[in-house]
Amino acid sequence: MRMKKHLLTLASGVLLAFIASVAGMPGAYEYYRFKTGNFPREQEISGIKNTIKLFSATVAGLYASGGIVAGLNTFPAEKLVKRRILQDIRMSKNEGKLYVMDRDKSKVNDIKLFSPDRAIAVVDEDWFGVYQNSVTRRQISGKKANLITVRYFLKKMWGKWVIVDYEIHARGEALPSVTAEVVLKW
Amino acid sequence: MVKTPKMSWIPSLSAVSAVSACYITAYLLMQYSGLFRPSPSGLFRVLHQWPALSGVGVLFVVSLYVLIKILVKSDKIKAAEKGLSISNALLHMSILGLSAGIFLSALTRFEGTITLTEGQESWVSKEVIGPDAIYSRLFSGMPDGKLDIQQVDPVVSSDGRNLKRIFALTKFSSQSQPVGRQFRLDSRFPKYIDGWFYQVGESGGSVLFRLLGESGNILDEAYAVLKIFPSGAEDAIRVMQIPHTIYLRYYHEASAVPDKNGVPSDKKGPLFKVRVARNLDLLVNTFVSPDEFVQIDGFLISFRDIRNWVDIRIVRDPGIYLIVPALLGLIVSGGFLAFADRRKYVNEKRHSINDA
Repeated sequence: MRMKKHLLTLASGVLLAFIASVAGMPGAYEYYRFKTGNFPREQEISGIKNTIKLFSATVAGLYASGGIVAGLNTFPAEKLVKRRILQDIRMSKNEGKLYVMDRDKSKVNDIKLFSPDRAIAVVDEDWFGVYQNSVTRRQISGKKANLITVRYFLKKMWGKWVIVDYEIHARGEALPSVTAEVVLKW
Repeated sequence: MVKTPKMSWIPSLSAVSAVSACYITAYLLMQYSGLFRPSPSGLFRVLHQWPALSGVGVLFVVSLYVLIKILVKSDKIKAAEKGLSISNALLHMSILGLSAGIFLSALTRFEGTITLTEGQESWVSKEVIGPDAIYSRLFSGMPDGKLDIQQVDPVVSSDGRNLKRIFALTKFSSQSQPVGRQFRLDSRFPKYIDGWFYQVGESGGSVLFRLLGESGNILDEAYAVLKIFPSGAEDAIRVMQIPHTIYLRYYHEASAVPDKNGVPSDKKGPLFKVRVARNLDLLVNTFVSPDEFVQIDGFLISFRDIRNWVDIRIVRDPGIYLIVPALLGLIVSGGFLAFADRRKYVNEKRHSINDA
């Protein structure tokens, strides 16, 4: 009888704690589902790949057009990422030139989900770039190959994956480690 | 006819206390399990959330009621049961003190982290600490102090790859005590100074970064606080004037670079590994010595004067002065009551065997 009473007490406390944990913080239930495997992982990975594809295409388009911002709302990047790209284009234009980039190929090496809304993707990308005169669009430099490994930091915002930052590494170099703590700070 | 007693659906006070205690313990364990959030931000921050505070509130009310009942009936207690009654009272006083301490902490706790480089001094203020590094409650104060980091001594592991302990020789002054006092702050144990606890947190390398324009004019010059320890750890610098990202690693000796990969043979002494990207375009990937310039597009950058920086963690929580004695009281009274309960159980068992 005494044992039964103790078990009932324990069970009541644990149940209340579970309800409070789920209700106490926004996103707690989604995180619980993520940790217990009840999460559409493949769907999210596909979404991340599509975001990276759209990001690369938009970057190439922005550089080629000299910074025409018509499609900026669909550009899956955080504000500071967009700012640096547009700043670069503007600085080149002030010098009378445009840097035109084309992505030749890319290979996704790894995608890691840290939470329902935080992920890292490591992609090998081959880019080629050339400078053109901003007025005549004549080539004014040789074609430069840019073989890089990009580590993208992604966050899910308003139902879509967005690139909040990225690191550029030389192809073949070992990437420094990143802790979950760093990723989850975004 | 024997009437069976009706079962009461109203829980007893002891049941309510027991469920509350189980609830708070289970809640804390769930928060630290990583099942509902990536990582909790600290025991007290979890305790200050409404789910924990509501359980603490129930314990407070029940303990207060029981304590008042014990005190009111104290003269009617038999001499043989006085010891048990005192332990019971101490138990409930401890729970009361613990609950009150947690509530006081929820109203007054302050945690702040200030980052300073060797040789740097600064008043501790909200502007210096920054909003992301402060946790303050409704009635938290601010420390009245100026910190002058005179020397940082990191103690590293034998292979030089891990920081074991950090000491920071710090001069401390305040508005009320302008004459500086020197303290050796430690990463292992906090130091109590004028009502506040100071402790060293993380440490790393601060580098004087210089950005020059085409004509050699200085566009920017500042110490960049970087996490470039141990050797080979990488951090990045960005400045608003240019769209470039400068990735930096520091090696105290050229021979410390793993595999000597890409290190020019003429390089000796301390080295920086510099990698510069302009958005998705990798421009530079090289090793430079301190003060050696690197050309990136129309700009020049250089690095020098590497110094240690430290995070100093500042905490004040008046609630702990209730919580700590209350926990001791809980252990003592809980132990005694458990022993008395066990003795009572053994005696009852012995009597029932004798009767049989």
